[in-house]
Amino acid sequence: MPSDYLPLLILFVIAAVIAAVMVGGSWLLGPKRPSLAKGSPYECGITPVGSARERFPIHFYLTAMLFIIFDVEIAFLYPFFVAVREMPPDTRLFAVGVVGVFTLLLLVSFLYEWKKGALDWEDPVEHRRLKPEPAPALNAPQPEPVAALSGENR
Amino acid sequence: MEAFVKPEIEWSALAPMGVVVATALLTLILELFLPPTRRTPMIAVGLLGLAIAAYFQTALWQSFVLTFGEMLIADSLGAVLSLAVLGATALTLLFSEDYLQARGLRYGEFYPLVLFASAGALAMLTTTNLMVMFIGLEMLSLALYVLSGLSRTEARSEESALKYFLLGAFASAFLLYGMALMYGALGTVDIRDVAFSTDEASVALLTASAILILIGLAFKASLVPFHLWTPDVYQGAPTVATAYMSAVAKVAAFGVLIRLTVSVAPALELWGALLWQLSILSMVVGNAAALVQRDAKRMLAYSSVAHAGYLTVGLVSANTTGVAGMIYYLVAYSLMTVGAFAVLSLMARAGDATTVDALQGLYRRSPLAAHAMAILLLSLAGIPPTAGFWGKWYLFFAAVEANQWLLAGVLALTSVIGAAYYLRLAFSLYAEPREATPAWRVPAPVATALLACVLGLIGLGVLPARLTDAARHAARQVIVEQPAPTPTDAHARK
Amino acid sequence: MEGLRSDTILWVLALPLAGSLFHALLGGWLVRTLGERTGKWLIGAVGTGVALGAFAFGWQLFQAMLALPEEARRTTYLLTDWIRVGDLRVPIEFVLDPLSILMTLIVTGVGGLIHLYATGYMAEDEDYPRFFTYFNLFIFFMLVLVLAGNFLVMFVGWEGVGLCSYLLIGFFYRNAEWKSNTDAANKAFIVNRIGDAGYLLAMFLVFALFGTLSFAQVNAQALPVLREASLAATAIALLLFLAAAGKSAQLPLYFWLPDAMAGPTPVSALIHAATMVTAGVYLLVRVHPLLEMAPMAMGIVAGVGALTALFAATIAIAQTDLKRVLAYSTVSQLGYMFLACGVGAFWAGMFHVATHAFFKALLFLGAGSVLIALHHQGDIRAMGGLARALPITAATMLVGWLAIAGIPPLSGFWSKEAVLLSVYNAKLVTFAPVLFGVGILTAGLTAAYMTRMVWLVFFAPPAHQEHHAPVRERYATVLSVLGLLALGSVLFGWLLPSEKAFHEFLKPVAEPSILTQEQLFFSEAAGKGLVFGIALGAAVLGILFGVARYRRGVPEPEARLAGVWGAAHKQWGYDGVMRAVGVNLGGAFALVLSVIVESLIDLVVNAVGALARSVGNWLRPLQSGYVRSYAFVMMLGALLLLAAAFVYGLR
Repeated sequence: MPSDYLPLLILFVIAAVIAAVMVGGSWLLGPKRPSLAKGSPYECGITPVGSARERFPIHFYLTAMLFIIFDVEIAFLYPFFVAVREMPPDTRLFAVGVVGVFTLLLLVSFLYEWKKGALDWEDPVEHRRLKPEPAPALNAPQPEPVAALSGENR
Repeated sequence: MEAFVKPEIEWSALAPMGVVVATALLTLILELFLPPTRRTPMIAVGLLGLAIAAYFQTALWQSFVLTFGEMLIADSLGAVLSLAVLGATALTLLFSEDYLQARGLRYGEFYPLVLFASAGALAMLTTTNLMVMFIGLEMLSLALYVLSGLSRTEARSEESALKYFLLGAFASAFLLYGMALMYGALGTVDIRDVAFSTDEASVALLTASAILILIGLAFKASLVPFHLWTPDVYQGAPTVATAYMSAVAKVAAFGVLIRLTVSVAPALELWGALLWQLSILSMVVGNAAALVQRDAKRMLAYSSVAHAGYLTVGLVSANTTGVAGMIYYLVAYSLMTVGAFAVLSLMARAGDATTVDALQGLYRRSPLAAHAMAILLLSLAGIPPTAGFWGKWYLFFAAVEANQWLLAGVLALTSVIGAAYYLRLAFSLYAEPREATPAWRVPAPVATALLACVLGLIGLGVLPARLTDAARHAARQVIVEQPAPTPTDAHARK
Repeated sequence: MEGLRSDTILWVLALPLAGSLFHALLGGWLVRTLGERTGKWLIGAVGTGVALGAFAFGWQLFQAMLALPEEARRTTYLLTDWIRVGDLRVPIEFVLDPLSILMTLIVTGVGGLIHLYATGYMAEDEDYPRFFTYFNLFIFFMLVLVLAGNFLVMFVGWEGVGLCSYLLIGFFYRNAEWKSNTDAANKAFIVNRIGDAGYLLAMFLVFALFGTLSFAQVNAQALPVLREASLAATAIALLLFLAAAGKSAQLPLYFWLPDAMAGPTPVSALIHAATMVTAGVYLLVRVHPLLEMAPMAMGIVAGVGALTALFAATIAIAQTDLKRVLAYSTVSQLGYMFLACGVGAFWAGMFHVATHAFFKALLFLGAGSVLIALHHQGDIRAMGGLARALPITAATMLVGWLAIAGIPPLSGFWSKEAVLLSVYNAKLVTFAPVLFGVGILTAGLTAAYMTRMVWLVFFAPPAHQEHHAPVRERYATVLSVLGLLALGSVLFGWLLPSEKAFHEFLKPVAEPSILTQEQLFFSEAAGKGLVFGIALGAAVLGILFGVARYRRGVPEPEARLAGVWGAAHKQWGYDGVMRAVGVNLGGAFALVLSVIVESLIDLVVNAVGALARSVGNWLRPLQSGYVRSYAFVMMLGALLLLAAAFVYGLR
């Protein structure tokens, strides 16, 4: 029923209005005296060094992603172990089995990361394994620039 | 706190999917401990796992099991199409290694990825629950994105992966939005509920949700106008990945569409009208565009758009003949497309050029490959005595039965146009090659896969009755005998 | 005692098919790896083995059948459903009854012996594996034909044997001098298509009227369904006869068979004498109730049969090529079989099929043996006196000669007499006395031209003394097969005075079921002695004439093919007329038709093609290659669908 959603709409409107008031108010009321120091990015109070758009080693991202995956998945285990005590005894084994499968999946993916060298910082096993293969012997015309790649359609 | 009740679970219904996932994990571990040049054990394990899964799947034939809180359904439709997926996967495993080695793509992840994707396809085929379906779809899609970008050093492959990923995410957004709206309209994510919705007030919501879900699936099935990714991705992806996705993604998407149509078409007249448009557009655009292609992979991509259009004719008809025809066609199409791309994958040893010019005179290089390709193309064109003929025949009859004369006419006419480009390619295989080329030795696994496809197509073409009976049974089961879902809280609320 | 094990049929069918696949897939490889000698030996052994193996299974079925009471001697084997669309349900079914087992035994037995013969005859051919591929495949299709349980399955066999016949007639296609071989193959195939059109039309009519294609059901319902539809009955019967005339080389379609002799001699023996050409007779016997519903058509069958017998005999006597004499003789003998069917004595027709298979195969194989010795120079005017050089061939061919001439107690006598006796007694066909006269005349002519051939080859003084190489018999396999077949012709002959047994065996399937004996015949066996006497007299006269005329070689003006001899040699101009009408007139007609139809079709096709192409080109800008534009098109599509919702309404 559309009317059911009216409160939701009101909520949206209020949020939008508050945001507009805050941003707009500071823009209208605040004094504007820009300087070089004020315009530069804030970096813990020290003078910025170099561009902020720097390239980081891929390992930062990789580690972060792996961390999040395992973190989230481990987080599932806490409520499980709380809940399992409340379960009737005859169903506990089943529950543990289910979680066992879950953990097994984690274990396999962990094993995979490990062996692939995703956890090594220094020794890039990955590089050894996935070293850019000798460019495949292509007699075919080399790929064209991206925009033109769709071949037929120029 | 309510006591936890252990659900009643029919494990046999889960067995095929479970076995495939386990096999995928096993190959993943195997890959870690094998040198990059030894893939045979992985392929063997993969094939064995698929065989076991197929055994369990066959055992489910003619059963009807709803389990996991009705999130999993094991019926004949799921069984037939799952077997098609398993078969296509097995064929892919058979002929891929040759291509990967020839192209220097030594990524052992290929095999686990293919198997995970198949598990996703199985999940899509054996559920009426939209959430499970979505998880299956993402399992399938994510693996396919990676597979299309497998050739990391090649811009074309990277481009195709990125395109597929971005547009796929876009389509998934439509799909999810539609599911959310359906939950809003009906308070359930089980598509069987749609048929029993009587609430007039939620019609607008339901309509919108159906359209959005249709868009998401039409993207996967490559229906016009959601097909634009298809040629670029099919062409850019490594040929073996193309072979796999062209068969499995299509079977999975149309499997879901069959279940959706059975439930939605009676409730929404609009559904048929929308499919009608997509069908006509796909048949016309797919065939017309294929006619002007010079690259075989691209041509087959457009032809897959056209075939999606043919298949949708069965959906519009929404009768037993139509659904049975679709099932038959999907099985046959899997064989045709996997086989055709398998032949194209052999071109890896000649620079992986797949233009029509490069294919000219294939007969001089390998008579086996040329003969196989010719038969596969004949089947794609729908010429007897191949299975492609009977597939079109059934869909044509379904349209006539449903009084969809225009659809039947367009189907027949566009098939004739289609025959033109298939036959043109088939003839050029036997012409003199552009440049003198040495003869190839087709490796035994590839030859086996090709023979399996060709013999399967001819077998189905000469003796269609076995499969059509099975398809008819499955169609009747899903259309006529499908039970209403157990009332849930959502129903009680109404 | 158990019933017939119908699944044995599968073994009978599977063996030749497996053999054919074996040769096709492994033959060339075997010859290359094992060496020519061993490889060919293995191929020959497998090829012959599967045919004789199929014979063994057939024999087992035959014995099992004999042990059963008459009414239990029929079983069907349903392999699977083949086609099921709408009302049409066609299973792949095979039928086992006295008729089909008889044909099975002929096809596999005589066929097996001819395979054995071919291992010798073809030994020096480079395409040895290809030959046995086709040859085994022929056996398979012929078995499908005779064991088929419905029209469509039989049609598969019917077309299959036609295909094999085509492939084998043109077997020596490589030889550039023999371009006529491929022409002959084309001719056989094309002429057979005319008959096949008849078969198809008959099949469609049957399906339209009966709603089924099964022989058993059609035969059972012939009376109720066709009683009120005599026109349709006549049409079906005549179309079936057209099909039979094509396959069995009857007037007006006989003229492909003589040219078909371009194939290797074992092919002529097996396909164009013993088995495939009798398929037409078999077809008519298989569905004889349909024929009986159309008495007029029966008269036509009998008349055409008798006419063909006489016509071909008159041509045969003026032929100069050894195999062509035998080819016309085959056409003539097939005419006898149709004559028998036409007067309602179906069993007598089948009887002649069986005996003819023996002695004609024998004669052809003997001719092949002569040709081997003479390096394939087939002009009988240039032969003579070969009896001394080729003693075994001569002896065995003499047996065949006496058999076909109709000298008791050899097999041909009994079957020919059975045919003539039934014609003598025929009642339904009012002009039967004329046919009887024609039959007797043909019998005399047969004896005459066979004597001519045998004498010119073996006994007349040699025309040319010098031969390129010593003329001698080689290949033990060739000679042993000749011996076996000769023995068969003799022994079969001794057994056959009890022809009643044969008649009784075929009774459940070949006895007229709609017309009664009283309607068909004046009496069953009246005038037996008289007929025997007349026929024997005609045969003896023919032989005496032949010996007298040809004992010193070919007399003038026959040797120059002048006058009436030349006309007879040229098939009385029939082939020429057919060529003129069929090829020239047909070509002109086809040209006109093609100009009209093709330009029309071209117009439509080109228009559609151009349209499709322009749509394809018009769509190109859409495929820009940019993800953003793809996403934009998707968005547009979504809006289109949503708009459709407003156009069509929400539900």
